Amino acid sequence: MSGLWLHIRNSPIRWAFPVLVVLDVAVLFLRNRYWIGDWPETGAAAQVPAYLLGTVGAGAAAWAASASTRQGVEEQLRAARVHPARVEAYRIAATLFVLLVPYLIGQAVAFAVTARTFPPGLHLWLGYVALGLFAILLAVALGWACGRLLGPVFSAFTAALGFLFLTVGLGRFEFIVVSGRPEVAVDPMPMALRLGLVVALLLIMLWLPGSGAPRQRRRSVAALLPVALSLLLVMGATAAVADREPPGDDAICLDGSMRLCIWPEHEKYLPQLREINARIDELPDSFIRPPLIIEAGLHKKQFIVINGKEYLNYADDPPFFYVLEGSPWSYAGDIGSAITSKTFGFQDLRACDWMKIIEPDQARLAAISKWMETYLVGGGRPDYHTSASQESQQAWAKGRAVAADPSRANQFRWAEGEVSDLRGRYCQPRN
Amino acid sequence: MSVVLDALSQGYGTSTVIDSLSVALRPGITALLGPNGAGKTTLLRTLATVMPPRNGRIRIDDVEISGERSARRVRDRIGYLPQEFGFDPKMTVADFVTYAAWMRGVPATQWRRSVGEALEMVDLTDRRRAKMGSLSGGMRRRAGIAWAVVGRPRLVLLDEPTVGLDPRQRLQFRKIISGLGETVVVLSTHLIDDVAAVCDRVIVMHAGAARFDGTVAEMEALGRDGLPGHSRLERAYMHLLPEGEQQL
Repeated sequence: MSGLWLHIRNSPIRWAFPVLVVLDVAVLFLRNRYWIGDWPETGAAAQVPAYLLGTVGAGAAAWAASASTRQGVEEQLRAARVHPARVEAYRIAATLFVLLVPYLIGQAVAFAVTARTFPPGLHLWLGYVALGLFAILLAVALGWACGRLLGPVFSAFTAALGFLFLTVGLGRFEFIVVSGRPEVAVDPMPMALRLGLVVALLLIMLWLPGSGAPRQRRRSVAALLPVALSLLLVMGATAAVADREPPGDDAICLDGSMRLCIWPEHEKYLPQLREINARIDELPDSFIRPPLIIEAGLHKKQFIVINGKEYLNYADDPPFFYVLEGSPWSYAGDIGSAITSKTFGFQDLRACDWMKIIEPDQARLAAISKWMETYLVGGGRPDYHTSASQESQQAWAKGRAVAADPSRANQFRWAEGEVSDLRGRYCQPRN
Repeated sequence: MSVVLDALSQGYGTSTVIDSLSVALRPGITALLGPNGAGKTTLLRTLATVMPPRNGRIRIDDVEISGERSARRVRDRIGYLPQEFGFDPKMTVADFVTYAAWMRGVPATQWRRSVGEALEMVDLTDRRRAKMGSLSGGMRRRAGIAWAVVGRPRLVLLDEPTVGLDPRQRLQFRKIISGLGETVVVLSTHLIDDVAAVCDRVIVMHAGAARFDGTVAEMEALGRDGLPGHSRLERAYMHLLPEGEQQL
């Protein structure tokens, strides 16, 4: 038995270990499963429980940090031959073990599940592992500081609330992400900086004695502050998750009446996209397809400067679609919108003269859009809910009712009629 | 093992608790006797190197204790049990004692043997898997003594180790202490019976100074009739107190 194992066995939060393992794996599988077969989504999905582990962990770390005061062993610790920093290091290590191992088990389980198909992009998984790791380390650092500085009474509660505030209140610092879209990735440099600073915080904690030694305590607190401020500064000034470089020729493309390209990491969606592409080929000729549609982020973002301000410029880009939470309704909706936009001759609704758009036309266009979406998916009920107006919902219901007609000829006849009637009337440019 | 205090002064804040005390400790059992506030606990804490000396010198073997660094060099030779020792109630007795071995720097390869020896010495081998919180007061004290003696430190410091023990447990304690052999044992106590039964030497302290330092027999010889006390040793103790405190 080693010193570390002795501390782990007797950690005041050891009881939490099996609970956290079960919770972590339960969150991983019960939240959703679209991450399976997609490395960045796998990493992100297994990183989400870090939010829970971090909140529990901050409180648990505070509880563990104040254990020596609570149990009255400070005098015995003062008489120890082992350096106090080493005692503290073992205690922090035992706390980290209880909190990090469930997280790493979750990541390992997620890894094993996705590794069965081994898609491209394993390195993206690692980035999200680091993101979750950072959240837990930060929680432990926060909890330990609370436990050591505030004492045993309210420290656990304060630390857990503090972590919640950090993650929710300062959400823009990207402690936790809820999905791992392929067009973004964890940026190694800011991540390494964050990890380095939080490890530095934990190292300073080794010299935060619980009671007594007030001069050393003041010195430790004085050392904590600049590191904590630097960490906040780094988190505010850098983005942990940043846009990726487009993959260029590595993008996977499907040819047909319209070329459709996706990120290589999303190769698992190829069968569904092939079906959609085949349905696009079967559409009546009155529907005009754009020559190319790409998954978001496959083209480098272009910016234009207007009056000294930078704006994203989509004008020269092909239309794009998102694969949101693995839902075919998300990409079918975007692809359908690209086709209807092209068919009705508008790219930018902001250029429309809204005064000339009459409400019944708007409803008819909405019906066509929803018919297209449902047709491209291959029928069924959408997997999303909206809070759109009653008029819109009625229009959509009409489009979906058409898509439910078993006769594709009937569907196409209706759609062609609507297109020929509406074309040229909808979204006329401003004079 | 040699422990030498030379003109040692010790205190808290502006108050002086030990005033220029010079003592050399030898193998055997030394009792610290004295009223509350005499400086017994402060002396034990100083010997345990928890408090660096304010003035004077303390030398343990060849190491002069001047601060944390020098203190740590000798702490593997010291077993210290404070009067109110702390423990995790959910810890097993074996882990509690193993923790002491770890803190004292006993190599991990020797833990099993050292902990086994210590538990056997205090007759807790069959309770090694019991939780500390489930032990009776007497068993807890014995576990505390195992904490102090694990790894066979050559200087054992016990602060009021018999407080709260029933007569049978006190007899057990005396048996344990008598078995420590060539160790330098220093224990503070208010119970003169314990001193008479197991101690080789007595230091009577009052207001931070040693008013007596000698064998139990030498102290007994000071017992005067007419002073309160049921035994010669008790009367000797009363005799050693300042005049104003000799009568009840």
